[in-house]
Amino acid sequence: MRGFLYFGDSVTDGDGKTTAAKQWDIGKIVADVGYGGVFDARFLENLFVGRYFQWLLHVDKFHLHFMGATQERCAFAASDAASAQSGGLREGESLAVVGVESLYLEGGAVGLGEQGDAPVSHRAVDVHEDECDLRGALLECCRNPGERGQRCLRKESSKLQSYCVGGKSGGRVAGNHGKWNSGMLADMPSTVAPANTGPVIEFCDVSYRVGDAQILAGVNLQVQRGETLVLLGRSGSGKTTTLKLVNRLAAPSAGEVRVRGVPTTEGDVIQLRRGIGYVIQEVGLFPHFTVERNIGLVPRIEGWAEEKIRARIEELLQLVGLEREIMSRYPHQLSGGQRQRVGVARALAADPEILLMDEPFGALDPLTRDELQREFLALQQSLEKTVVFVTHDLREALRLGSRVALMEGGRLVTVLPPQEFVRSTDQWAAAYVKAFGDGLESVANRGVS
Amino acid sequence: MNWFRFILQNREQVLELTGEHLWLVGISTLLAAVIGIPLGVLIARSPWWNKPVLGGANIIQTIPSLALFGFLLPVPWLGARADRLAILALTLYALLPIIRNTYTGIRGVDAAVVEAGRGMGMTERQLLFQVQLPLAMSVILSGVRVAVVISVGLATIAAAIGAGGLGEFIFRGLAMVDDKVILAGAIPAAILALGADFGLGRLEKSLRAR
Repeated sequence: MRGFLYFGDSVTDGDGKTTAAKQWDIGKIVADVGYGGVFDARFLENLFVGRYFQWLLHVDKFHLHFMGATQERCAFAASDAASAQSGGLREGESLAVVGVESLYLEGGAVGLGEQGDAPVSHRAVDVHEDECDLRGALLECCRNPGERGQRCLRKESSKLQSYCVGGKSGGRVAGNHGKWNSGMLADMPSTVAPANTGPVIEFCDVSYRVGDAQILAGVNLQVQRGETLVLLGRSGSGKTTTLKLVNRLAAPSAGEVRVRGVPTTEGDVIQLRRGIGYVIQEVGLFPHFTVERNIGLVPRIEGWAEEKIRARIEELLQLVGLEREIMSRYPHQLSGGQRQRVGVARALAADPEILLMDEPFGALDPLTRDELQREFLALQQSLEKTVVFVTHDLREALRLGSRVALMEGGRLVTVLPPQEFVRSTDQWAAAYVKAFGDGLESVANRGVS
Repeated sequence: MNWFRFILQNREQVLELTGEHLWLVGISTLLAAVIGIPLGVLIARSPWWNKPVLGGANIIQTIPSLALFGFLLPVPWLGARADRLAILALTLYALLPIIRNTYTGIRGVDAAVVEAGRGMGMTERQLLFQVQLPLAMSVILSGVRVAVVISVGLATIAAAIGAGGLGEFIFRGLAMVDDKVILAGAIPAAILALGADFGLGRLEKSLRAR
């Protein structure tokens, strides 16, 4: 059996036709797996627990920021000067990941392609560790194209080619103009579950009242898999309540909130909550728990084995950029930025599909906030969680959100992508934009034209 | 320093009575904690119980101690042994500070912390034992501390019904109109109270530091 995985918006098949990879299940799946949303926890575990996931994250560490998710385009770009100087991926270059059936056993490949409607060149590498250190090769290649890393990539790609096309010479994967044979996609690993395409979170005509006070009225909203929906609004506009309706810290007075298609008022609320990461301002850390216990909280109450918890904690600390030494510290011994990182790590501990974040960066100084926002973007682009993010800061909303939902007086005013939000003629949106002044367009566009 | 010489001369008896005193206070405080902390948790979680429980504990507190000892005297099993009776009375008195502090302590836990725990899928039980009680512990302990200090004082009165303790010296001294005998009871009792206060205070502080 031969499976084939591809990351990207489009590939050109043998006849030169361009097909959106995302239309193929596998493309969707890989987008889901590699960069985020969970479609089948077991498959994900097979595939990415351990080293493969590790190196994807390591790639991220080297500033190959995955820019694509929101653009429906799979583009890694060297987004800062440091990696650009060290010969990182050129701006706009895409990273395609291709693989064979044994990906989760030992094989697999990474290809570097250029951005465009169709990837035109692919440099690929086998994951097989005996022959090529994938991570090393990839980094080498990024730092020093044409040197050892690329040689390694090239060497391994010939093997990949034979994997891909079963010995036929049709698919020139590496170093050439890619000819992608749709036959490559014929056999999928049988463990792959059908991708669930419905919205992950759905508000159907939701109202919420406390006594006589109407907090929310008639909210209709859908949050799609892998997107970051930002709830924007002033204090008291109902954004936090909206968030709490998702993990049922509040139950709707009327209407229905559905998570993965199931109304929150049905089923086990504890299980619902454990499948949803929750990050609030720094006060949410348990002051009497060490960092280690704070992060390991959900795995522990879920009854994971102690070694697994330890390994997970170390992985998470690395993921959020914290030193191992802080594991034994208490929250009050940390800086604000560190606390917030611990909060994010704690929310991610049991690898939930959904992440709820309630003004997580609100209490931080501007520099730390900027740093954490940048890390959040990078993290989100590699994990692709379904995120609902509450903020009153328009700049933050435009920067982080794939869509921005504006709330006012318990109502949902409008839901728009950032680029459109800044140009919106809606009175509330316009008022918000006016209050924040100039320069927002560039924030909304995030340097991606 | 007549009283000091008296204590030295009667040191065996002083030690014995101090032991009795400690026993009365220790057992009653323990009982009060065993009853009072769950009650405090109960009223912190379901406000409906708040008034009856705190009200009841308040009323007990208003009963003069001698009168309470008197009330309890005719109760069959209790009245049979003075120390049982004294322990019950002291337990009742110790309840109020413990219940009240447990309540205050749990209500005082940062709501955001509790909500974070709940939001992450902790059960109510896990929240109580892993978050609320540990965080309220220093406040609860300061309630216990108050209860102990009150009990050390009150336990001297238990001697009036023959329950023993350092009150023996005090009542004897009163009957004999002899200061040194009164002081031989009062001073060790005061030292006990101060010592307990200091010791529990240290413990409380070490809990708060975390």
